[in-house]
Amino acid sequence: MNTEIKRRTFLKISAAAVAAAAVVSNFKDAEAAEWKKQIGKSGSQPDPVDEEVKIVRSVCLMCHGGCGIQAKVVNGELARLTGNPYHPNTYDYTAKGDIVEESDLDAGPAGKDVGSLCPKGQAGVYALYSPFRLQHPLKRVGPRGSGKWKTISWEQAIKEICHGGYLFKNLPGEENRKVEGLKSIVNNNDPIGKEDSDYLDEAPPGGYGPKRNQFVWAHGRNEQSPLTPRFVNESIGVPNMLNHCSRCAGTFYNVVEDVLNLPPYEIGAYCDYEYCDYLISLGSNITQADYPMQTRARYLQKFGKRVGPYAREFKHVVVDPRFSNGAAKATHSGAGEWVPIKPTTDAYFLLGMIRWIIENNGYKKEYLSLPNERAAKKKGYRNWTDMTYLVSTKEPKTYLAGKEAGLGQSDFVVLVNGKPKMFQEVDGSADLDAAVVINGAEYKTVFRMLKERAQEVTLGEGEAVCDIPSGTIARIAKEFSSAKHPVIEMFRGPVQQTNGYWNGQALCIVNILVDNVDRKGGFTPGHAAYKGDVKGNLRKAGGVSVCRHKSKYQGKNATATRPWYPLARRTVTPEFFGSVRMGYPYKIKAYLNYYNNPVFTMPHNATVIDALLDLKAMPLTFSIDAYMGETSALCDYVLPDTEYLERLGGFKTYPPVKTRVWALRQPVVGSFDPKSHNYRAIRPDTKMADDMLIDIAKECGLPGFGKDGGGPGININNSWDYWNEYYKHYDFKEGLDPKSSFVKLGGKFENPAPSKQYTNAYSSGDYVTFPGGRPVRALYVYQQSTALNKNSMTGKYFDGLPQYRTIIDCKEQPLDPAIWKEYPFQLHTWKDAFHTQSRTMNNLWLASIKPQNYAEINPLDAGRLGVKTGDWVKAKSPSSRHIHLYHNSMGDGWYKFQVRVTSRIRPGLFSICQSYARFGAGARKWYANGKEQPHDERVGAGFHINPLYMTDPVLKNVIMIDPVGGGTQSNGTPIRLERL
Amino acid sequence: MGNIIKNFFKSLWQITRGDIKYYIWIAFLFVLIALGISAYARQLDDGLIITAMRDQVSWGVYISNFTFLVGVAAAAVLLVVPAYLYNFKPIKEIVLFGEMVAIAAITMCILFIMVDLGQPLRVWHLLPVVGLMNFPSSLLAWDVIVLSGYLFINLLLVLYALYRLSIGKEYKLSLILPLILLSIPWAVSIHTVTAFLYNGFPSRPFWNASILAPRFLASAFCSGPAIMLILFQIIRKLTKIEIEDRALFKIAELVAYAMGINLFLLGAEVFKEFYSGSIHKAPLEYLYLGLHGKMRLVPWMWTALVFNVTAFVIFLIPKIRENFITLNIGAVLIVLGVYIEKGMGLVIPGFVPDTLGEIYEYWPVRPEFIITIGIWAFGALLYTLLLKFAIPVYTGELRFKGGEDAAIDPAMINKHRREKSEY
Amino acid sequence: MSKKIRSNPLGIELNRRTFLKGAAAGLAATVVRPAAAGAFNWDSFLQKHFREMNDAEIKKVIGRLEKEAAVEWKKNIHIGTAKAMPGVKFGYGLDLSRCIGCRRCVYACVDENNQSRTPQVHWITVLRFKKGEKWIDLENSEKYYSPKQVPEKDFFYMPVQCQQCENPPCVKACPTQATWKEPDGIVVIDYNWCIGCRYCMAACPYGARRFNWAKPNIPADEINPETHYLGNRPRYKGVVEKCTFCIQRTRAGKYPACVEVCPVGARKFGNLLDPKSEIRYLIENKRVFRLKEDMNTNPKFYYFFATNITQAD
Ligand SMILES: Nc1nc2c(c(=O)[nH]1)N[C@H]1C(S)=C(S)[C@@H](COP(=O)(O)OP(=O)(O)OC[C@H]3O[C@@H](n4cnc5c(=O)[nH]c(N)nc54)[C@H](O)[C@@H]3O)O[C@H]1N2
Ligand SMILES: Nc1nc2c(c(=O)[nH]1)N[C@H]1C(S)=C(S)[C@@H](COP(=O)(O)OP(=O)(O)OC[C@H]3O[C@@H](n4cnc5c(=O)[nH]c(N)nc54)[C@H](O)[C@@H]3O)O[C@H]1N2
Ligand code: SF4
Ligand code: SF4
Ligand code: SF4
Ligand code: SF4
Ligand code: SF4
Ligand SMILES: [Mo]
Repeated sequence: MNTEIKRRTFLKISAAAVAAAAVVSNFKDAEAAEWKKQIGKSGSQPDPVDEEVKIVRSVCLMCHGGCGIQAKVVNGELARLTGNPYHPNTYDYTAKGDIVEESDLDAGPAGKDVGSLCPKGQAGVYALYSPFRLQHPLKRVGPRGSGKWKTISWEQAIKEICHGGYLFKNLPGEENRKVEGLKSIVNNNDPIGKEDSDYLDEAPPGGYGPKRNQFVWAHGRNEQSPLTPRFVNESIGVPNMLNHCSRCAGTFYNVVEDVLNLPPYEIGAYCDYEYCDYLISLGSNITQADYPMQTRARYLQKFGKRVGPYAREFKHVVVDPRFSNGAAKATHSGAGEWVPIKPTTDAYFLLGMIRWIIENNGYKKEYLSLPNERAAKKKGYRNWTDMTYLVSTKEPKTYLAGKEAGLGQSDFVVLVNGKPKMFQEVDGSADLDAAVVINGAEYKTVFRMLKERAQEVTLGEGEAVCDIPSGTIARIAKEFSSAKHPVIEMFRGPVQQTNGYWNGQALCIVNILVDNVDRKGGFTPGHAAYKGDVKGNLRKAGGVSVCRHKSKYQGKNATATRPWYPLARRTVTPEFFGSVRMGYPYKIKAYLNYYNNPVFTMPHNATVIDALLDLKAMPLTFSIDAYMGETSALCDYVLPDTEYLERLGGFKTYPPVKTRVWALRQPVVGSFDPKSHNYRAIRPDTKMADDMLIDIAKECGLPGFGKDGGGPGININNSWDYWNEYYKHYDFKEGLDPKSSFVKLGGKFENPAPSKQYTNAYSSGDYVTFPGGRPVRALYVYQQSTALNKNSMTGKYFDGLPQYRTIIDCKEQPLDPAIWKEYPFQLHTWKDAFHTQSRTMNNLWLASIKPQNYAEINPLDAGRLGVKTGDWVKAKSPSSRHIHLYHNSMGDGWYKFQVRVTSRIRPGLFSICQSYARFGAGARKWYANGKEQPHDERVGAGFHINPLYMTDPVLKNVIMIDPVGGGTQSNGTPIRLERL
Repeated sequence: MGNIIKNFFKSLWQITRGDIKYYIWIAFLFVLIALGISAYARQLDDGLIITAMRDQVSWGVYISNFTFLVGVAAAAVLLVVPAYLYNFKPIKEIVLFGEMVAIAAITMCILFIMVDLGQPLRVWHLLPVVGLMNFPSSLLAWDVIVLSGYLFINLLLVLYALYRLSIGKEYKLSLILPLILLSIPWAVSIHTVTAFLYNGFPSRPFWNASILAPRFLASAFCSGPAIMLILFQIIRKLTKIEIEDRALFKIAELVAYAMGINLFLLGAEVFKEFYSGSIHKAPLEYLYLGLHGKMRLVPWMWTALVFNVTAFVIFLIPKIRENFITLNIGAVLIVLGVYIEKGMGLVIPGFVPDTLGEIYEYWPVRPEFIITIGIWAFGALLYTLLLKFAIPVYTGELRFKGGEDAAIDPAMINKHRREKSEY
Repeated sequence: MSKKIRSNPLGIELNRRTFLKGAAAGLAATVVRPAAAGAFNWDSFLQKHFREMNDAEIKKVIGRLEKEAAVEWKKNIHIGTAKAMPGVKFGYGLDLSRCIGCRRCVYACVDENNQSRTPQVHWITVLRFKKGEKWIDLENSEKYYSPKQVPEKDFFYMPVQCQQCENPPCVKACPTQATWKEPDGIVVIDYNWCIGCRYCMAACPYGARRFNWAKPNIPADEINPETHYLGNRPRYKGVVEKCTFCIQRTRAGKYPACVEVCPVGARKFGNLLDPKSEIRYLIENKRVFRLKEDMNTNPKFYYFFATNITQAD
């Protein structure tokens, strides 16, 4: 076809046709000022706006990818959501190499890489106008979970929650139940004492902290950060800001921050897709989930197969028990493969790769031998590792300190030609694969220890455990280590395991071995986003959190009643629900559920349900929700939030996007009072959660909000006040000035010119520049902090290096093999591209795409069971029990499911994708003021697997948890299947 | 030249004279035509919206009549074939009247097309050279050519024959034979092309059957002659023209064969559709059984079928077809039967269900009826006038003084007649 | 099954008085009045076929048409004549797994393309099918569904519009060449050349063509004045029209109106000759199908399911 013309040329032609004046300017190497000018230019006459049509740019929240959106509002009604063409998630400057004029922004006919949104993002319109949304504050008029509510005024809601009393005296059994209100709870600074805890023995020397810690906040999502942490940690001043991370992928961030030595909350590390030529996705559901889902899907598609500089040699290996869409795409293109690994065996695969790479010199020796910054600089590297540092072989296995080696300092010691030397004194390389005996004690380099660890299991054994063809690991390790730009990346698959932290560590090490960290085309961590600030005279949180994250067990007994998680940087929420009923470590008084649905999304959710129904354990519960979610349904009060399209805030982006971003979330409909800036929502009795929290803070007299809340003269009476203030500091200036380019473009976006993204200042090759800055730094293969901490349940030290293990309980014991005899299948779960967690089945636009899910099994298993697609089976796990809320519960721990037989699931698995089979959020009938509320059976279609997760055999009532990272065992636990 | 003008006025004078019945008849036709024109004027003003046609069924009663009339026109050939090729005298005598039927029918066809156009003033776009005729791709372009050609041929034949007669001479067969021979395939072609007009599109499974063109011809060879059977009897009765019974019976016999073939082909079609049972059977189902409870055309189609079968039986059995009462009943049945079957029964199911499966039940509304009647009235008028002119010429009552030999020898006519009966 | 089929439309029967009036008028003056509402005009009567005019003639004609339109529609209407871009062949994709049957595309098209409001002319027909029944059984599809809320349980939807056939039967059929395929693949109609015979409608297998049974009726304030000669300029009574892939937009580098409006993003559009375009991507990577492939019309309109909606793998 010689009529083909290049897309660029075509765009140009079309642009010329639009208006001769609008010339597509080449943007490749524009300087920052020019970039600003460009934005300014198009920003100054931005939109095809008239009285009827308005364009508002904001941030998507249909999932947590943070894509920029562009809302078209016609006569005050939201008509359509598309991608914000200025936001790098949705408009790919890097790939295009040019910037489009405003007039082109409804895209050229040549292709839609301008402002793309995924189906979920576009369905935000439905979310805004959803019939299932809550309209008024609700108070239950039956027992918890009865589904009977009455609407109350905001005044009453805030008053009752803050001041307590005999709130439910009309209800049988609760006549005499006096509920303590928030105000007295959160202002009680006396230390937690006997009356609050039966476990004072296990408290650290400083105690559990003040009594106000009996307030617990739990969020699924925290997109109103930094307002929400201000409310919880600094205004109320408690450490109990529980999040979703333990059931999500908190370990991933944890381990990446530890090994790659990053500041927290720069959201992980991913592949630089544009320049990578060999990508292994290990348990990362790329193209269907992960962050930012649609951007990465587009990147993979573009750079990997279609336009990337390495498009021709690009190979994509998907190591996943399920033939994901990513795997399908990889194999379909002919330049990829699927390795159907058995769940929970990632450690074997990764350590196998490490072994092969070490034994076959596939690692970068020069790089790994660098002991410090000076040496790295000299050789032209941006970072160095601890591979040459000596580590003690006796517990606690710390790095050898200078002092102990008689070198007089406390820093790391390395060997140079067999001689101990302070690491910073070495000019060139240090001994890599070495050991030494000092004062009778043996010390080995990290590299040596890693090698020995890797050699503990042979490759053949690894493949047997992983149940993949033998030779696979070696072949992949070879291809990987000989590729130009190899990367292995992960997401929930390998880290959401009890061995998750070690799996993640091993994966980071594989990357370190081939020296791809921070590299162009390599494994690139996130970077700082733009940020602002609100000052104020604030409290400080102290004591131990209800889930014991970041807290070292220092109790009187050698071991604790329940696990502590000193190494988990994020909270271990399931353990809170597991221990709250026994009042461990102390009793709580009030629970605020914000944007959170643990009743549905928590693995082994029965525990969460039990806890929430327990009036004694959780005396006052209230929830901020936009729908009657499953968790809200079990609370005392539900406060109706506005949807994200009626909210202020902001969001950064994820590492695959290499520019610096802060997108502004702002209401696309509704209005602010011109004077007070109070927000009036399209459903007038709903409120922004921000406003509710500020109202509560004011009612309770908390610092940081209200009069002078943001410092002298700065009142924070509503959401607008807060964000307007926030956007005046640090990286921002204008506040919420509607004329500013920040508000008009929907955020602050850094110059995306390629020269800004990479630097060739290092002679060993190109690195990512890290917008916002990042110090050159060491990477820590060995985790001394892990090795220094003990498992509170056994009193034994944790291992500082990755280890070969599948599933372990809280005492790090493997599962009893007998269980597998009775429960031979493995539970498995994943995410669909057009759903988000539990949030979207009541978005009927999305629900209609695939009206129900199925329990998926391999044809081999189907054959053995004698079932075919559409047939029914029943399933139970060692811990499943009846939950009355599930229609498919058979009453005795068995649940019934309709199967779909597919070879996309490896044999031995029982797989159910998340999101389906809701029983709240409009799936079932519920009542307010005696009237039936909107519901639709479609919301409840399909099946849900969370009741079937196996609990910890020691603790019995809680999902198995990674003792280091705090992540849940989200896959691979035993299940029994029978044909119905 | 002077002669021609004189003769023209003579003929004009001729057609304006008649008895009271004639005047009443003509006045009646004029009233109908006027009504038709006024309805058409309104249609021009408001658009075709005043008809019952819609996007789903975009052709209606106009095109149905067009289709039927093409058949009638084509059937003239049925008379030509035996007359000229086999020299079957009794029919040869009356061929002229048949060809006049064709002229009237084609004229009506053109009118039906005209009233169906959304932009009739632009009809010139259809013409070769001045317009931009889409030839050979469009079958409608072909139709324009074959229909106008057919009209032209028939006009030529009729005028020539009348002219010769009017000057008292036999026409020279050698001179018009090529034209006559041409007219035979041409008649077949107008019908075939019209059939192909429907036939050519897979979008309309009902029409997209190769049996369509043969069915068209077969039914045309029923309806055209049947109309003529009736007309000839009327002519025979009202004028001095003598038409032999034998001629009529012969025609009836031919009609029987044609009807036999027609019914056979219908049966073949019915078998194929219903036995194979593909979704393409829907239109036929609609016609004969009704579809999704929609059965507007069903009674009509069964009526047509009963009429056709009855007529077939009547015409097949010599004894019955030679009885004038039954013969006329049969003829009327055939005309009605074929009018239904080859009119609405052919056009409408092409659109029902429509290409997206919708069933829109078309039934013409008053303006369409009035316009249709107007055009039929115009056709009748045209034929009446043609007869009014032709019959005296034919009978020798009217003679022009033309050329070298203007005298009429009445004996010649009688001789002519004698010859006829002697045969 | 009475629900689905409209009966013979009401209100089109003449009432007796108007009929008599008409008859009288007809009798009084048996002359045919000029067709257009405006006075008869030799220039427009003799206007050449669009493709037979040279640029100067086109310019002149556009000048006249713009003037006529201004009078007729009481609004200044710009009539563009942008030509097809070289190297472009437009193609359309529609993700059936995402369409929710909201018909916003239908009305966006009406607004953009100056379709008649009364009588209603729609270039897009959204068909509703019952799930689990015969797939693409058009005869059991429902065109006049009107639920309180879409999407409805157990139904799915399939919008149909002109498929811009590469091998268009309508073009073959047209006796006057009033409709033809442009180099960028769009099948267009010269509304000043069409005689309104509707033969193309009989030929089109997709029910894509619409006839102006009456003079189009568009409130002046709703007229879209940005038009193209071959696209959305207001039409005349008695000519056919259909989707033109929004020729006035797409030739200016914009998306069609229906693509822009579809709230779920089911509609995709692009250049088939550009191997990197989204439309090419989805043709190559999704399971696409085209409607009535057996007709060999070779549509440039691709239906696909971006996601499984069935149990099948
Ligand atoms: N089987 C299985 N379980 C899983 C997963 C899996 O893949 N399979 N995934 C896990 C992962 S990765 C995660 S992160 C967790 C997620 O777990 P959650 O964070 O609990 O899940 P979400 O669905 O995001 O829950 C948010 C709740 O907020 C409410 N909500 C929705 N919109 C709004 C709003 O605008 N305002 C407010 N205030 N509330 C709103 C909804 O009612 C919804 O129930 O689930 C985990 N659970
Ligand atoms: N569409 C969509 N996108 C989303 C979300 C959403 O809900 N919907 N949620 C967002 C959130 S909160 C998160 S946390 C991310 C999650 O993003 P991902 O972690 O990428 O997605 P998941 O589908 O949860 O599962 C990851 C993959 O791990 C595989 N897996 C399961 N067990 C194992 C194992 O033992 N080993 C290995 N190697 N692989 C295994 C699964 O088969 C699956 O393909 O997605 C984000 N993006
Ligand atoms: S990936 Fe997530 S954030 Fe991006 S558009 Fe889709 S739902 Fe919105
Ligand atoms: S606008 Fe989109 S979703 Fe709505 S009917 Fe049209 S194609 Fe379907
Ligand atoms: S869909 Fe119909 S109108 Fe459109 S090009 Fe094809 S045949 Fe012609
Ligand atoms: S209606 Fe117009 S476009 Fe269609 S075939 Fe007739 S002249 Fe051609
Ligand atoms: S492409 Fe344009 S003309 Fe065609 S249906 Fe869509 S909006 Fe209408
Ligand atoms: Mo997550």
